[in-house]
Amino acid sequence: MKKNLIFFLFICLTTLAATAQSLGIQADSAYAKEDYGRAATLYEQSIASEGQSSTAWYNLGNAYFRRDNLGKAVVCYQRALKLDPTNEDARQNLEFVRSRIQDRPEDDTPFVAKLHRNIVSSATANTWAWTAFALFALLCGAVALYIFSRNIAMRKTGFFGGIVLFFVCAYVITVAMNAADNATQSNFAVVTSPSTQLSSSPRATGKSGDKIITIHEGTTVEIVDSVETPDDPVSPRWYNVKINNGTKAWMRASDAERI
Amino acid sequence: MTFRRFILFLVLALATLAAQAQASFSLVKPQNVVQGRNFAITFRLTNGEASAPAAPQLKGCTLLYGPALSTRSEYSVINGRATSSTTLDFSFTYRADTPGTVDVPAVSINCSGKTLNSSAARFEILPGDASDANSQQQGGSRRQHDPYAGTQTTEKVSANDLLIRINFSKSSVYEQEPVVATIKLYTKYGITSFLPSVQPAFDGFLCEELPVSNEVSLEHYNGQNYHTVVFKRLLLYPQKSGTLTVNSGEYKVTVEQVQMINMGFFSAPHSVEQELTTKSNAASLTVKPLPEPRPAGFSGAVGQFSVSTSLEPELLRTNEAAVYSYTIKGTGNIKYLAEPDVQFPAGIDTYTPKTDIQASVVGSSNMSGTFRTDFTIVPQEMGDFIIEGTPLIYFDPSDNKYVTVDVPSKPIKVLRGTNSAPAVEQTTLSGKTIDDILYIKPMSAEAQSHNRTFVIRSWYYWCAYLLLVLALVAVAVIYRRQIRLQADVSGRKLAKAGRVAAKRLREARSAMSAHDNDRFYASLAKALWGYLSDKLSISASQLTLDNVSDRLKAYGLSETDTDHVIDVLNQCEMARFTPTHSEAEIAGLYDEAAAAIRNIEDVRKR
Repeated sequence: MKKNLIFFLFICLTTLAATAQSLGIQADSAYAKEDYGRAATLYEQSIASEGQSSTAWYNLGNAYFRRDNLGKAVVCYQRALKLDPTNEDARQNLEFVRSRIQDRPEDDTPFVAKLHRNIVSSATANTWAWTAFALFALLCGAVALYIFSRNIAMRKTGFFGGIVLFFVCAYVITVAMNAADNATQSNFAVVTSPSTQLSSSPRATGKSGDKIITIHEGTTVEIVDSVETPDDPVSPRWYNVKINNGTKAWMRASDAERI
Repeated sequence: MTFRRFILFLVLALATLAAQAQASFSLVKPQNVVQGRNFAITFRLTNGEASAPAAPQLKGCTLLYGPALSTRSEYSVINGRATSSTTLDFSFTYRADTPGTVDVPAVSINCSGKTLNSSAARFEILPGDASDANSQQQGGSRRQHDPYAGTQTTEKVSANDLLIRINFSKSSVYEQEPVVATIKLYTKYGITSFLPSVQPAFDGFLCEELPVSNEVSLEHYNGQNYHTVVFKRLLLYPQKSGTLTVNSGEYKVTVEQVQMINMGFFSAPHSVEQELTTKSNAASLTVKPLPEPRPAGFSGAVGQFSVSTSLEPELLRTNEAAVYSYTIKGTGNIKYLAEPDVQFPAGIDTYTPKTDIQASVVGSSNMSGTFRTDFTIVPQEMGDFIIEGTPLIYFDPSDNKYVTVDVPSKPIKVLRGTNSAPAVEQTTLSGKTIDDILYIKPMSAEAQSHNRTFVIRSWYYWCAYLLLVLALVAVAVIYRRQIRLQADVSGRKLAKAGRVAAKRLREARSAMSAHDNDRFYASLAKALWGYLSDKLSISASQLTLDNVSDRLKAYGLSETDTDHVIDVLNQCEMARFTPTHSEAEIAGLYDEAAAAIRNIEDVRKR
């Protein structure tokens, strides 16, 4: 009797473990069978119940792309990159999907800022943090060399090397902090409805005199501000967004999804 | 010898056997008859001898006479081959009494020990012409319209006497489902010529002519009996849905009427020909569209089919052609199938496929056969490939549903061709991209978590920095202290050197005042050597005059001063072994030694 009970418990636990572990793997097999709708649902469930990972978001993005849901795909790839900026596959697919979307916003970021952005996104925040620490250790070594060495050449090396290392280390710490900020903040949103209109004020544009811009699914916008609009029947919230060329405008929050 | 004879006998026996054809027994197919007429049922025995069979009982018929026997024999020699046949006909004459369908049962006879069976048959007794009832009562002959008996009057040929009818075997079919159209001539008179002037147009159909037997039979139609001839049979495949109508055709028919000319005592038959233009009816057919939704990949096959594929040869080599055959076998619109769209993997060149259709009519209303498409393929690259099976989707009109015949995929292996040069054509890979997203990564590749930690925002990360700085400071402090300690050891020795020398000089001085010469010299030498040992960090074993001289010079003492020190040391050594010295000499040596020490001490200060 007791044996039976233990056996039963064992079975229960193993099946539980199997189902818990296999959500993502089930999703993988659904994707392999080209059942992209089911794969997308399973990946979403896996992320909700088992936590997120760069791979999970990446795979979900693929499933959405296969279902022609480009906006959602862009959101997922960007989330994957937020978790792991070194996910080259996600970056490549994001580029590919962006080449398919209708809007092609211009990127007029100065070269230095672009370089900095690329450096920040070339490794995870933690990698940068430990790199900074290693550089700091080297800096300490250089200081020690300067203090303790009798040899004048060694002392010179320690001194100038220390100065260089100090600046490099300070920069890497900044990069690590930026990377951590990028990974946690969600200042960006992606348009998920087929198209939405940007207006000059946070309300639906009815009058013909209002200047509007139309942007389409998959376009990434930067959120500057957001306001509650309880009177608006469609969307209770409006975002003040900046599109890449610096133009600020308002859009319905319900038409976009924060990354 | 006997064996040869045996062979000869066997050959001869076989030859005679071959010449002696098989006996067969059959029923000559009975024609339809009109009620009240006499007719014959004939059984035919070929190449055999037998007594007449019993007369079969026929429903609604009266046996009038029989069996009547007629014999016929044939003998022919063609190219030296002799064939002979005998035919024996047993005829039974009946009178048709009541209209209806009559079954002729199978009849068996005993032919030289073997029982032979004829096949059963069926024919119809047709009721008499509706108009005949009148003429019969008027005393006219019932045979007046018999074209072969001739007519007594040249009546005008009415529209009812000559008909051409187009019939469909079914009234409603699906698109592409075959249907048989029959064009039949109904006549009451003899026909001498028959020419179509306007053929009926089968618009919206694909036509396939079927063979016709040109057999004349008797048929009851609209209350009249006609002689009928099927002169055209067509297998039609409707190409569109809706009501399809076949236009009426127009035919020029020459009718022969027999007129009896009264020549006094007797009357002579005289045939009169009359040319008529007759129109056939216009037949229409309801064609149902194939049910929607049509499955993807359906290409219009209607019927029942099966598919087989083959690859010849099985072993593929690069640059050597092979044939992949896709054979559809079945019944339906086999002639009008679409070529299968077989997809071959990249790395295999394909040529325009060749299609071979072999179809024949089965039964009376359908066509069956094979539709074979040969794809000539030439593998260009070695390796394992898969030829995806292309399923055939057809519509089965008898089941009203679509059927998919799955064709298994065929894995193939391509080896290096023997006659192909192994030279590799170089291809550039740069600039070639696959225009698609990358594939998913396995979910087990990365651990999933709900919360993430950033080292840079944790206190311990910054503590590590602090620890590093503290460690550096601590190491620096300890190092400084150690340096100072090390500096003290040699410094003390240096500082002590002067003091020890001074003490020994004082000892020498006390010895000098006590006039103890030996002690004076000993302590003076000790003072000098000890001082030099400490000052120059020379161990006692290394203390030689040469060494001291070198080290003093290295220490920075001038040449004269060094010579002076060496001189003092020499005088001390010498004075120890020369017994008598004046007071002044001793005092002078003491002063010189003190001056030498002072000189060495001064070097540091300079």
